[in-house]
Amino acid sequence: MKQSMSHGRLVLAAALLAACAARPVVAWAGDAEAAELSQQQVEAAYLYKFGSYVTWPDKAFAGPDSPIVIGVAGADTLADDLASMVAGRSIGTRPVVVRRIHDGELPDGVHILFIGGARAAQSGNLFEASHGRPILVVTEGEDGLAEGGAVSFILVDDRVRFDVALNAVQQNGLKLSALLLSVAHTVNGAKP
Amino acid sequence: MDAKFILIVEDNPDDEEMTIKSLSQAGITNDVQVVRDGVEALDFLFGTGAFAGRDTARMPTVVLLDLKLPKLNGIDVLSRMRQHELTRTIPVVILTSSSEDEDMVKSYNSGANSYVRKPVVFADFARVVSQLGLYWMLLNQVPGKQPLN
Amino acid sequence: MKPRIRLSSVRYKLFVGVLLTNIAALLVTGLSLMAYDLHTLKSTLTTDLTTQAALIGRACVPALQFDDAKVANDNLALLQARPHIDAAALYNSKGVIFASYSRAGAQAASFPQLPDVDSVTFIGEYVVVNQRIVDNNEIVGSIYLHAHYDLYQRIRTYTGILLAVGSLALLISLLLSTWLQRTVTKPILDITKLAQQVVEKGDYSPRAKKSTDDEIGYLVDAFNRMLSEIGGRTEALEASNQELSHEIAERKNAEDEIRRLNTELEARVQERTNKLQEINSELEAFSYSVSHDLRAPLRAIDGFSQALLTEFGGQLDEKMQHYLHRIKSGTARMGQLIEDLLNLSRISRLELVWREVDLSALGNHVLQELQQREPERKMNISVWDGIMVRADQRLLRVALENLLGNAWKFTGKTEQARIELGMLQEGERRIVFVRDNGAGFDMAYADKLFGAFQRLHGVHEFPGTGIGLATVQRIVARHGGRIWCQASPGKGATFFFTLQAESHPGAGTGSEPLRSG
Repeated sequence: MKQSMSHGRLVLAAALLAACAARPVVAWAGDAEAAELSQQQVEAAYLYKFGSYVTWPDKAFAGPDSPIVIGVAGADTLADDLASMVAGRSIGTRPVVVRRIHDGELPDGVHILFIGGARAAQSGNLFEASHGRPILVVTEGEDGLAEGGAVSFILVDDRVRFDVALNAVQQNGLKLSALLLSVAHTVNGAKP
Repeated sequence: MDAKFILIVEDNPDDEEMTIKSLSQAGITNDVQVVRDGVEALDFLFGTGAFAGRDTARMPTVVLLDLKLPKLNGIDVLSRMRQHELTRTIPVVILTSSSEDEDMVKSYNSGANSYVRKPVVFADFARVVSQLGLYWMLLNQVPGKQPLN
Repeated sequence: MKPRIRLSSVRYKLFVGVLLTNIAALLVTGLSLMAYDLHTLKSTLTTDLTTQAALIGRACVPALQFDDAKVANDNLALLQARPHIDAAALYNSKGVIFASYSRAGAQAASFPQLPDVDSVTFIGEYVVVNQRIVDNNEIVGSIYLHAHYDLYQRIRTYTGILLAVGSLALLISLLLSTWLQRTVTKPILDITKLAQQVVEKGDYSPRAKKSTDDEIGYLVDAFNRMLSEIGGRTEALEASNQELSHEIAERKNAEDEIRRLNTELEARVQERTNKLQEINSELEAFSYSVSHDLRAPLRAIDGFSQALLTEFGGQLDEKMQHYLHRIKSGTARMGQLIEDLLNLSRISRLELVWREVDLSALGNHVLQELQQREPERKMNISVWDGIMVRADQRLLRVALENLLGNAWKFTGKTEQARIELGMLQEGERRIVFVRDNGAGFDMAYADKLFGAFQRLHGVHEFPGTGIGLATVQRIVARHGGRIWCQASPGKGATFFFTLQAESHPGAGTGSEPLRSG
């Protein structure tokens, strides 16, 4: 194992080690082999990672340190996974907060809203409530975009991919990073 | 013959006559034999040449020898005489005109008994010769011979 | 043996100096440049590759995050634009190869099973970069880059350049050295050559040409001055040598001449000596003949005159007898003359025998003989005591016999006759004198006194042959002395003589006259 790390890198490495719950770096492989992530877990991780590629208008936040709130509707297990995943994490300067959106609850103060497949049919009001507001609406399934989602998880070759509907994103006054678009399965509407 | 005699070796007849005259004036009347040169003198003494057959037992009592002689000079005659047994003891008086030291030294070295210079003046000459004659004929004794008187 | 001057040494040294300086400068510069360039290359490469890795990593973050290997592979394939990157690999956050790239044409790359820590490693011509991909403070994966760079090629190129530049520098050095030789070394070489010529030929006339105004010019001037100085001195030396050899030759000639003259002189002396000896022996023969043959007739004349007188005296008248007496006295006189002449010639021929002689004793002896010859004469004799002289005794005796005999003779008619023999000391000179108070003579005739047969008195007055003083004079002369006299008629005469120029210490100087009968 090479020891040619600079001081700065040492600090970073220490931080990363701490972030990885004090696991040694060489333990990655073992970690990977130990547990095959579930679709919900992958989707939870994606939800969290989307935050890095979305630019919200300034008015979406109360201040520079205001948290990014990920709202989850109709997917409690996912919400739990996500909650445990983002605990103590932040995107840029903003901490990440997970909120369950219960039935009939409006997605106020939410920046990313996941509407699980189980609730999608009866969640028209959520789509509508989100429309024109700075909320990235993420759904599941082939029809997710048609229903009004901006991003929709799909399974391609048993792997979780996602489609993007740019017009939906733009309608909500959001901007998506081109990097994200490069890994999207399909991008509808406006060109990336 | 037992008579004493004098042998005169003289080539100059004047000197010879005066010598004989001087001797006779001194009363020396002994026989005198005269020879005229060195060779003749030796012939006489040893009975050779013109004197062959001479009785060599009869020798002169004294020889009056001139130095300057024809044929053989006086010194040579003297040397021969002194070499020979017969004549070794015969008294020889050199009677010469020479007053050179060299001649005198040579003569004595060769065995002369006396060296007498002939004076020019006859009186002196006669005196010298008569003294010589008297001395040698009457006084001198020679080995083996009895002096007269 | 003459030390050979190495003409090439200065040129050689200059050349080597220039060359070595150039090579050293080139080497240091070249190596420094190469080291700097390699260092720059490495750091540039490091920066470039880490930037590249960061960029690709950045681009691959979404692919990693959203598990899109295709996109990742596409991203890596973009490295095609960077031909020096041979291979690349992307590891996901779990350390598993997620995507990889091998440049077309490059041999199949083998990727490490696990990603390494962040590092840039140079292995020979290759560079390996490991870099983690961090996004939002999380390690999302790791990128591995394998690149080559032309290290050896670069070194070869550098070496080539170095060689090329070195050759060029060498050429320039040669040119420089030639120029240096022409401007700096050549004057020195010229001087060296000149010095060699001077040493070999001994010719000091050539001069070095002054072509520069620097130290070498000064050297040339100094050398030329030195040459003219040496040349001048050598010329002076040669001139003096020539003069000297000329002088020596002259002297030698003179010596030869002297030797020749000496030889001639010797030959002449020998010739004269021979002649003289011949004459001497003739003289001796003559003397001998005189001694013998002249006297014999005289003797006969005297003898027969005497015989006439003795034997025929009675028959001769008075006149006859008188004539015979005259004949006899003539022969006697002639006999005496012959005797004296023989003595004189004997004195001249006699070899001197030098010894201390008691002159006083000798004088006394001679006077005693004279007294015995004429016992009837009464003589006042005064002989100084202890007069010692260095002389031949025989000759000195003859001299005294003559001088004292004369004194005796010429005082024959003097009342109270007196004879003195003494010696005077006049400085270093000692003078013997014989003084009498006899007849004396007129000093006007003194110069004739010492010649043979010179007489100042008549034979009848004082008999003599006139040879006595001539004999004394010759004896004194043979002793290196001198004789002179002081006299006056009727008052006696004094004869003085010296025997030698130098004095004889130890000789007595008795001043008390000795009287004897």
